[in-house]
Amino acid sequence: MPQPLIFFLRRLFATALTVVGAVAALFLLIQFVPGDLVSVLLGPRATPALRAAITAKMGLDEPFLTRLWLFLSQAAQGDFGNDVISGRPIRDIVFEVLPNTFELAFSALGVSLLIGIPLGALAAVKPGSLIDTLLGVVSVAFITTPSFVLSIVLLLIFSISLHWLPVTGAGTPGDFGDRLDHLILPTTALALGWVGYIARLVRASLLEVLAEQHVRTLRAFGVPEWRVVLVFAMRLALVPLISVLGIGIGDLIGNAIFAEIVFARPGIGTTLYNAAASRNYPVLQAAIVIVVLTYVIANLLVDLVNGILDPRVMRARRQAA
Amino acid sequence: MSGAIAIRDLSIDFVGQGAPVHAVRKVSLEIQPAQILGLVGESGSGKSTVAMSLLGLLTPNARVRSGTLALGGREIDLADRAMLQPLRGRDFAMVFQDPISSLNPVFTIGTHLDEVIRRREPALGRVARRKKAAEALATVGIDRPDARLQQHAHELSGGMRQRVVIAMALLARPKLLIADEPTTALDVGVEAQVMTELCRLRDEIGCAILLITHSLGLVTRYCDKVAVMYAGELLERGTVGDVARHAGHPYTGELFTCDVEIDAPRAARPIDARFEVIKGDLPDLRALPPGCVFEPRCPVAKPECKSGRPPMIPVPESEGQEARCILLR
Amino acid sequence: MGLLRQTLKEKGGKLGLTLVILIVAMVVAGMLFAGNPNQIHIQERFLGPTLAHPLGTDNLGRDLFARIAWGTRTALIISLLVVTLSLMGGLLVGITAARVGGMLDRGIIVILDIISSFPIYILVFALVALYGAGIDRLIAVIAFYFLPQFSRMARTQAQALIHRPFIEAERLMGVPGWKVMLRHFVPNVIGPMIVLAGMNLPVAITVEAAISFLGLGVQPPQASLGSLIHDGYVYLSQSWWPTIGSAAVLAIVTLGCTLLAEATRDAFDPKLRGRT
Repeated sequence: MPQPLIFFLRRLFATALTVVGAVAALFLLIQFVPGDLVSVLLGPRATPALRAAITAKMGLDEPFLTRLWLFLSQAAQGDFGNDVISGRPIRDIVFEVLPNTFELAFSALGVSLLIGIPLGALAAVKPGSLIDTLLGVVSVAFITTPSFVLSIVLLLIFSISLHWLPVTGAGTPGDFGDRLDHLILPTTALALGWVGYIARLVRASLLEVLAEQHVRTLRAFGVPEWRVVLVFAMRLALVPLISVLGIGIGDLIGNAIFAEIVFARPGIGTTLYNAAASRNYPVLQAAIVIVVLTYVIANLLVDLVNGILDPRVMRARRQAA
Repeated sequence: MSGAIAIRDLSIDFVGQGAPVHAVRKVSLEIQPAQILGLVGESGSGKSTVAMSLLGLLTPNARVRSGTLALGGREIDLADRAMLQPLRGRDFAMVFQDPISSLNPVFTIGTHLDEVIRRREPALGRVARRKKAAEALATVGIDRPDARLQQHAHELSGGMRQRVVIAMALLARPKLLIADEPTTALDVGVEAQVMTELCRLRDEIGCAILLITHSLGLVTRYCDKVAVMYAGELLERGTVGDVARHAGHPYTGELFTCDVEIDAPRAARPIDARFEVIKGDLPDLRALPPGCVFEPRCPVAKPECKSGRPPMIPVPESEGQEARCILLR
Repeated sequence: MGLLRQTLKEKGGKLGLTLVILIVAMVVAGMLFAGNPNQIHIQERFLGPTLAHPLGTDNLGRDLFARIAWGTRTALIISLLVVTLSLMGGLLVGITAARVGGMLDRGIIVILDIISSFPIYILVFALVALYGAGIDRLIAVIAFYFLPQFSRMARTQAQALIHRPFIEAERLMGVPGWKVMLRHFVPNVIGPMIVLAGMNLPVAITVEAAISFLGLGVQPPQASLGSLIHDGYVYLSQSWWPTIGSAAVLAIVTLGCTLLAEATRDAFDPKLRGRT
């Protein structure tokens, strides 16, 4: 088998193991909840008959490992059971809103990359310039301010005071312009910190690369400066950025929850929040599994892209394994 | 000769906090085509600074105070970096000291060679460029050149990487190749191979080579001429044979004769090691002595050495050999 | 003292320290002079800043200066508890893993990896939803989330020590494990751990505020920065004072702590500069 394929399969296996471990951990946590799960779910005033029915329906009388296996095997087929409260399949509840969250998280990621990378590169090429100084000062402030605070401030300025943009919701499905209008503020709230973060990272990384010997080699052979920086140095400088993106996607989805709540956007965040508030743990469980899965898959992809961008990574991993 | 490359009156300061450091002062060098000039000196003598100034790649805190470059009938101001940029990769190329880090780790060997060919022959197609790159690798003695094009630097040994850079130089076909300690990081056996490749490169494209080195062994074995730098000044120049036989400057004499360890072959020891036995320190490049720059450490110094910077004086009975020492008068 | 002087030399160190001192002064002043943060004056709702209420009043006419001061105090105490807990937990887990080694070590690493595979807010949601909202659970959850970082660092640091002669010697002389741990491992490992704690303090403040903002952390009538922002957010269309005041304080606290922590880290180990 070719080496990259072995590398991929090994990572895939480790990822699958992590997901199973995470689900098992989640199950264990639920197991330790004080009082019985049916009471948590239905409240103390449920009739004994209803309690018995729900217990049997959800398989709560089965042993722990049986339930874990049942959940895993059904979840693998995309079946998370039915919501006891609305009676709808949980899969529909989650997958209905998931695109909204992805839309938000990925547009924020895209905007941060599109603005952050050139900004960081400019600052690195001209250290000490106005852009560089501004970046150093402003980025820290945006990075440290929690995104829900930024969400509220943006909401206050652009929706409530200026009436430029809609206040809440995700927009009418199918109406692209309307959806875009609803996307601007939450995307900005999520992206502001990440623009600063990415720009700082790219700046530091590019400065480091530009001081390396191979950059001098290319310059000595007359390779045009723009090619030296944008083609040769940039690709090397972006390697650490890719690793950070893995964590970043998790962070963005986590923060998307707050943006969704502040802007009342339907999404995985609002679903999680409502499930948590009403202690509807089967929905909560399914939503968490989906988020963890997204996060872990994102990290897997990041590792692969990294391996393609920097052949040394794959070799190092092979040697370590 | 008309094809000669000449540097005249090159002076470079480094500015920063406090007084400027006068790192290179009034250095003039001349190299004939197809010749190898050895530029020797200790660390900090300014020899690499001279090289980087030719390429216009000095660090931002360097200031070229004066200096011109005569190249192919043209006079170029060395302080004008914009004039030097077009020369890189066409008239000049450079092989560096550390082959481990002199290639970009995430691009293939082929990409590096391709960049050089693109610069030299913009009209050439992709397939032709690839063929040319493989030929260059074969010329510098790399096996399976087609497969090597796909490899990355980390898959090659140090000596092989240095050959790749030499192949880049081969493709650039420069008039002058600067080799800055090209073998310092390599084993002795590999050193000989790399030097052989450099000599073959010179024979192939007829370029002049400026070999910057610590090692007098390399100078005596491979160079035609030698120039000696000390504390930013050129102290002596001449053919290798003349300078080794009868040095015009006491400093050069110390370099070629002084014995540090009995068992190591004399010429193979780096200059820094030889120089430790000469008493005293390098002069402060911010506040230079008014007289000869070597006077404070010179074993044969006279009182008149303290007054006035000595000019280059021809060494008697030696064609073209000059040294900056008034004792020659 | 050397470290403090070095920290203040770093870019951002001075600004960070100034902001932190400013916030602490604000908290002390609020606690001493602003009166009862929970005193309701229904007639004085949504007041702008006046001499009596320098930051205005909220939807129940409570003085916002007092509430923000007390809320900041709560946030700081919670975050300090969180990083202390996770630091101690990390020391215990990390050093134990390094010393025992073998299967236990590998098992611990796997468990830490699993904890890290949950994005933080998801973990907090899961735990709070199942175990109910409250300060104690909030502290435990955030500390638990930080545990992998601290444990990994302690483990790496401790591994470098295990085969040092003085530690081998004590082991051979039969000195009890906990004594060796306290006497040799903890003092040698603690330096970078404290720097990490500093870096995580503003993160803890942010997470606490976020969770309390969702109503899953600090419960009314007690105030925390997060719950104050939430209270303000609910009445945003009527008055923006409550929101902006507490949001600004939260932003200043996290900014000050981050700048100070980064400067300390750079002063502590210049090699780490620019890394995250």
